Amino acid sequence: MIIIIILYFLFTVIYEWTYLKNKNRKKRTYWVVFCLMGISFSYCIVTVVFKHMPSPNDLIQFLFKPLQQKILGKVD
Amino acid sequence: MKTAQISQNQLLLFLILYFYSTLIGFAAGHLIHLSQYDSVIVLWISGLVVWVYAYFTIKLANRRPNEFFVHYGKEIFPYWIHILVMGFYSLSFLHSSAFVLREYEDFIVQTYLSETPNWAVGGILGMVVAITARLGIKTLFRTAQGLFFLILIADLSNSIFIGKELKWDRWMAFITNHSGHGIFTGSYTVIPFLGEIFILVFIFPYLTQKSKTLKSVSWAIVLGILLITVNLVFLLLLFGPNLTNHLTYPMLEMVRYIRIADFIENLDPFLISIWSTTVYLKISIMFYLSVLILAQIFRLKDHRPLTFSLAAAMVALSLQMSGGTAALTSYYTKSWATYAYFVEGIPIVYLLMDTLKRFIKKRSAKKEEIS
Repeated sequence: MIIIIILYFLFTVIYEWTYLKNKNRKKRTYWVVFCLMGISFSYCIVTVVFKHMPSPNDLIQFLFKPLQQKILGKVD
Repeated sequence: MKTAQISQNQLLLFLILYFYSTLIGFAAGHLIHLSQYDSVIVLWISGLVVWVYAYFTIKLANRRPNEFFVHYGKEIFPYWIHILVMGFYSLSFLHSSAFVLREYEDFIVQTYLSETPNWAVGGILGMVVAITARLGIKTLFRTAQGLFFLILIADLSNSIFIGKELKWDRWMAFITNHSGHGIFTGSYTVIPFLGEIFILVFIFPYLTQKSKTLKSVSWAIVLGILLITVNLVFLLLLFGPNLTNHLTYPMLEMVRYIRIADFIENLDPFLISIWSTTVYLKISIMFYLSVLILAQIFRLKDHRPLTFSLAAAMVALSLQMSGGTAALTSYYTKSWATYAYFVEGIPIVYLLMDTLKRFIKKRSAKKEEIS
């Protein structure tokens, strides 16, 4: 799985680099695009390595479940 | 960024599919579980509430019709608060697209491709979504416009063919069986579904003939709910409320009841064609908005270079967000609605703040004139 992710991101780096170069974008754009790509890549790897990591759903449930239960009562 | 690309007709057709997609595909069983025969009343009450909500969101967007919300929001709230809110929206849209993608993955894997891993289904649909988002919003709305009539024909065919299987003597229950609590809980859950219309605030500069937007939205709500109502009524007439809420995908079971002339026995492809296309459109618009907002926050010239990398994050999030269908259903039934109210309420807070600021400005200008 990790190999697929690395290959996918290698393709994306080459593709976006060519795109930005053809469009003559500023250095700042390169930084933003590749920093966000780095974050996305790290997140993908982390989800594979730590399979039982808490997800955003857990946070949303933690914050909103008690409130919804108060409003609606317990729903099966 | 190029604006004014989407016609009102495209908006209308897109919104009908947008309302229809997940509500009928993945939430019909839960709605019938909550409201039983009152589901029809619930839908129309929700439609009315959402129309009022849409009126106010369009009012906010109409104040600066050619500017993007990400740009003009900092005139309403302090810059850093606004940037934080927009960052939250970008993540929230990414999460919504991943959530719908996960529902679709589970459906396909459980029903048809039992040996296929979720990541394969998610990866393929994720790539299609990334390419659509990269091509831009015009492509997305044109796709919806092109697919609308095919979906409508498929849905109407389903409804016509299932007609003879229905137990029509159940219709009396729509008049006699009512529960106030059922109507309340059902409406509470359905309003945020339709309330996802708040995406208009983000795409408003892309619309042509902006003054007609409320009219298009009103028609979309009426026609969308009509289409959903027909499907829900048929589900209730075929299975009744108790059986329906025990089925994971009641629409699929309904389609499997269709027998045409004893030789066409499986009309699943009809349903899959409807679901796959409507779900694909919904994931695409959510993902596109996430990328667009991020590009606007970082003041990039266009959103394209971010699409492929964020699509990978969307697929990863869809796989990581829940251990299984039961956890996903629990999230949806026990906390999603309240979270959605929170997300959809933010544009109203912006509108209130903007109105207050305008009022104070007017008053101080009047005072200056008098003095």
